[in-house]
Amino acid sequence: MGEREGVTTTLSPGRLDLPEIGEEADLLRPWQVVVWNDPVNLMSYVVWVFRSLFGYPLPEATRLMLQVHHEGRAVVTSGPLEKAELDCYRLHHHGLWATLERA
Amino acid sequence: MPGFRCRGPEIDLDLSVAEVELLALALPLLEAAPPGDPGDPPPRYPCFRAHPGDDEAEARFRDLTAGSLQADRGADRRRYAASLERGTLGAEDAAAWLRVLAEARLSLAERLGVATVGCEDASPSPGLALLALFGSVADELAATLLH
Repeated sequence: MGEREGVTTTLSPGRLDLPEIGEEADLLRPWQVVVWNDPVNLMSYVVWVFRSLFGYPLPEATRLMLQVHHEGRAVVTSGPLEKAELDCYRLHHHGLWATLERA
Repeated sequence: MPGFRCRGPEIDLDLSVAEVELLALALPLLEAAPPGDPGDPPPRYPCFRAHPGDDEAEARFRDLTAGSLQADRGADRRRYAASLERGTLGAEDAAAWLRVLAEARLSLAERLGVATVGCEDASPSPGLALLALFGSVADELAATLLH
């Protein structure tokens, strides 16, 4: 509210839509990048991709590769949607089947 | 069998004329690959869906990435061809080799209907032999880079 000489301004109430607690929590959930097993890509290649793209030490890259191999999938990175989509794109560029899902 | 010899930051290729010719087959194979169908699983190379079950998000993802993916793959193939002719690989060349060979194997496996790992060793067909060769070279190069 403010006043100038001869002029009075008032604020009129407006509608402010706040997200529901559940919606806000959902928007904050990070995205996970999932790599899926396939019958063609080599295990050594997959390990190299994980090290090359994400900087994982060799034991961790190997662990993730084996998880993909034995369990069919593994979460390899997570984060905001933009980062996750970039990581997914890079995996596609390397010929790996990768998808995105909410954590 | 092709060999890779590390020489500082470079990798020298120890290839016969026949091996160079066979490895060069990866490029026309990829140029002739069909565009693929971005359907839901099982994915069909070369189209992997990032957002399965969400067509709107997938369309947005493809709008953002399709041009870049095509450009990146083209750059890899040019690097592959140039370094194959030159006989040495730098770090970026080696990475391109691995991506090209992976892509070539996926394309070839798609055409041959390869459904299980290792079946390329079971048949003497030329296509499966080529798939096995690409695999052996990629495996050896990946091992060289990892150690």
